[in-house]
Parts: sequence; structure tokens; C-alpha cells
Amino acid sequence: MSAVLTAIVALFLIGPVLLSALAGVTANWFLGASAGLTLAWVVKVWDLYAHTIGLSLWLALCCLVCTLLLGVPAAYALARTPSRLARLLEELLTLPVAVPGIATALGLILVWGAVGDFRIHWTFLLIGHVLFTLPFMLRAVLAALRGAELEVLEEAARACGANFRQRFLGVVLPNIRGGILAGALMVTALSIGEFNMTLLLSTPHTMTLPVGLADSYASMRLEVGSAFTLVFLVLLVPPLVAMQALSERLGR
Amino acid sequence: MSLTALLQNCARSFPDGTRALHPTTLEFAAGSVTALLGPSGCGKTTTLRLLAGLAMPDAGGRVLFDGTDVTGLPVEQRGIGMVFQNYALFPNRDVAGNIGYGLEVRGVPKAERTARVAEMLRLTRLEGLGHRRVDQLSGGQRQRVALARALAPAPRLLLLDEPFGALDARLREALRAELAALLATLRITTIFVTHDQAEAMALGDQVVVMQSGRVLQQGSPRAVYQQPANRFVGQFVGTLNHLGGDRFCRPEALRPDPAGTLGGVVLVSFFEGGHTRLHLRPEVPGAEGEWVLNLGGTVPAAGSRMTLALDSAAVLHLPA
Repeated sequence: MSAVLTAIVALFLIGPVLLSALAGVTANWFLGASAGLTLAWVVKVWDLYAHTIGLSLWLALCCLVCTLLLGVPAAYALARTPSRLARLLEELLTLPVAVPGIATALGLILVWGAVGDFRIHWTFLLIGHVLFTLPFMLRAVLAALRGAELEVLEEAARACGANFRQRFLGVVLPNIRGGILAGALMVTALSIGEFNMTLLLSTPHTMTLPVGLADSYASMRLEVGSAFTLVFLVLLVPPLVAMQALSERLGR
Repeated sequence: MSLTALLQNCARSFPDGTRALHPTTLEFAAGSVTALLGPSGCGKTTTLRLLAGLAMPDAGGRVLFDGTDVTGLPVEQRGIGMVFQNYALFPNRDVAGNIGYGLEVRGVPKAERTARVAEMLRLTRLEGLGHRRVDQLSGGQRQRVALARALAPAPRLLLLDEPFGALDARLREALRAELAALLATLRITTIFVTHDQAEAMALGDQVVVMQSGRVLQQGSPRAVYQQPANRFVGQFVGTLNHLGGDRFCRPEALRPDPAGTLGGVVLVSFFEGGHTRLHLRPEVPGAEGEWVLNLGGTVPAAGSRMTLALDSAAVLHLPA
């Protein structure tokens, strides 16, 4: 009974995606599969939108580096600060997640929009993505820092004679790697899929994959948009699944 | 190889002003093994952390190692060895990695490090377990790894926080004997925290009894047992039988004697193997509570009356 239910739910969730992917390889969706299958739409998508895929991957990578460099030390500092202010800050971390992406985007445009050509540079998108994903990294790392009796382990490292750099690199980081990996996975997936904010931040010069996808649905034949979905699935789902598996293995 | 540690007028207050430790001066002689003994919250762990450099004394307090003021030195620069409660082994390192950590951070060359780790593995009877993950060790093995890790850099002061706290009773006694033998060979100044008086007496050649942030008595286990400074110390390090007023005695000061002058009625008896522990209701004016005495052989049944003689030299006059 539960297996049937699971299958129905899975079909409900995945069905539309599969249908869309299928539409991407039919010559004419309105005539149905009888009109024949083709890879022409996929080729067309590649020609038109390959740069959005490249930008999305590059953006996700840069966003990951930024959130790691900012998030891990910040989480450590927060976890080690006993003050009420630190607890309040922790509570406020969810705020950028709750604020609609469009509002954040408008704010960023107001602040940076008139600063030279920054508006059409990809780093403008990066700022938005880092703002949006940093809380997720912080939360994941904070959770890891709170577990694992890390404070005692650090004291033990100090008693062994380790200075701050030695114990941070040799004891703290290895023991929170599960949290860091979980955060990294979250940040990467969120950055690649982010649409709300990116739609407003992006320009024809700086178009990410999801924005390109919306663009293709809005301005091309349905089959082109569908082929894009197919490309997205083939390109991004396997690496994300692999990363998940890796993080589970290393996180143990 | 060992040093004299001195806490000079060291107090430790919480932010709200309450004292974890009242101003305390304690000397730990080179090569001695000292037990800091007391109930939880008595300030014994605070004292240990002050010595380690994991906590700083309030203004005016000083920590001296061999006469050198180390008060301002953080723990990593004091060159101590420490065994933590629950051991705090690094889960990301194997047994050898844990033991060698203190050498690694000091920049000891690999060959020398490997040799020293092997020596520590031998000393703590952990041969063959060097590459074991620490979460695959038994409680007793973990304790030995923690000890080996603390000892590997050859510290001149060894601090142990409830070293047997995480072990079951039977293992405790075996490891206690083992640690005693190890400390006797190393002759390293050792200070350990415990709430278990048997442990303190067995391992320490000095016992410091603490309560509510104050040192009540410091002395050899024998002295603390035989001449406790007050009732609390007397009760904490053993059993006291009240004889009325400020007069007390240890269970072994009472013996059955038909010509004796004291009487009591047996309430209950507990067979403990080598001896039987008797609880009596004293029939002496002014004596409060129950008396305890340990007898070999057969013992009177509950409800029967016993006549006891008291070794008058063993009477303790203890203020409240």
C-alpha cells in the first residue's frame, strides 16, 4: 500500500519534469510523438544558451568559495561568542531567506545600479547569490560546531600545545567537515537553481541557467524550453547526486 | 623532570560575583601525586583549570611553576599534560595520531615522533592499536590513549580531570592500580580531580579536601582520615560514628567486647565478602544517627543487643 502511494507521489513530482524532457525531443509536441523524435531542439538550446549554463556553474563555484571563506569563520566566531548579541545575530540569519528575493534584488540594484558597469558584470549576480546562500552555510556549520563536543576537543588540543591556527586546521575543520559539506551542497544547489532574485539582477550579458530557461519558455517554441529542461537534468542532476553521496560518505 | 606547582592566593569568580573558588594557596611538591577531592561544585575542577591555564584567577592570584610566574601564559604555552573528563580524544585521528598530536604541534621530526608514539603505546599497553579509530576503543583503552597523549610530550606537570569518571566500577579499580604504578615510575608531578574518596586515598600521596570553593584540609590520605579537620572532611573521606557532643570515631575504633561500656542494637547487616557491615542504633545518650562497624566471622542477628569497647585514643573531636 505504502509502495503504491510512494509511486503515485513520485510520479506526481517527477511526471511533469519527465513529460517536459520528453517534449524536448519530439519534433512537434502538438502533433505528438507520431511526428517523430529529434535532437534538433537540444542542439538549438546548446547554441543559444550554453553560455548561461557556463555562467551558472561558474557563479555557483564562486558563490561556494565565498560562502566557505565567509561562512565558516563567521560561524566559528558566532559559536564561540557567548554574548546575547551573537544569539540575536543567529536568529537574524534566517531573515535573508524569508525576505522575497525580488526585494533583495531591488535593494542591490538601488545600491549598485549606478556604479559604473558593475550592473552588467557577473560579480553583481555573485553578490546576490552570496547574500542568499550564506545563511544556509552558516546554519549548517553552526549546527556542526554545536555538536561534536568541539569546545572540549579544542581545549584538549590547546593542552597538547596547539596554537590557534594548528587547532583550527587540525581539529576544528576536520570535525565539522560533515556540516561544511552539507552547507556546500546546499549553497551549490541553491545558487544553480536561484531564480527569483537572479531574474531581476540578470541582464542579457549576465544570464544564468534558470533565467535562460524562463527566457526560452517565454520567447521560443515550447520544444526549445523543454529541450533546455532536458539539458539541465542531464548536466546537473548527476553531479548533484554525486556530491550528495560524497558528502554522506565523508560526513560520517 | 617534574616541577613544583604553586597556586598563590588564587580566587575565581563568576560574572555575577559568586565565587567558584575563594582565595586559595596550595603547593604541589615536585613528583607528588595530589587528589583534589570534594563533592560537585566544590571548586576542584576550577582549581585544576587554573593550574592548566584554561581559566584565569581573579586579580591578585598567581600561578607559579618552580617559582616562575605562569599566570599570564595560556594553556598551550604551559607545557602541561592533561587528561580530560570523557577524554576528549580527536575523532578525526587514529590512536597513534592522537598520541602524537602534542609532538606534531611542537614540530618534532616524524622519525622521532613515531619512536615516541611507539614508546607511549608500549607504556600504556596499547601495542597494536596504533591505527585503530578512537571510536572503536573500549572505555579503558580510551582512557589510556588520553593518558598517552598527555604524557607523550614529556610534560613536567600532569593534570587529570575525573580520570575514572566514565568507567564502570570494576574497570575503575583495575585502571587505578595501573595508573598508580605508571605514576610511580614516571615521578611526574600529578594533580587529579575526583569525587570518589577511595580513588583519592588510593592514588594520592596528598589529598586536598574541598567544599563550597574552599580548601578544608590538605594532607596525606592517612592524616586526612585519622585527623580530619572537621565533620565534613571526616564524613567525606570515610564513615563517622557519633559518640555524643563533638566526639566521633571511625568504625574500626569500635569492637565487640562483653566488658565494653557502649551498647547498641543491630539494625541491619550487609555481607560484603571479607567482612560484614553492621548498622547499629547506639544506646548512648547524645549519640545521633547510626553506628557502623565492620566484623569478620559470624555476626549477631538484627534486633540483638551488642556490647562494644571503644579505643579511646581513636576518639576524634570534630567541630561542625
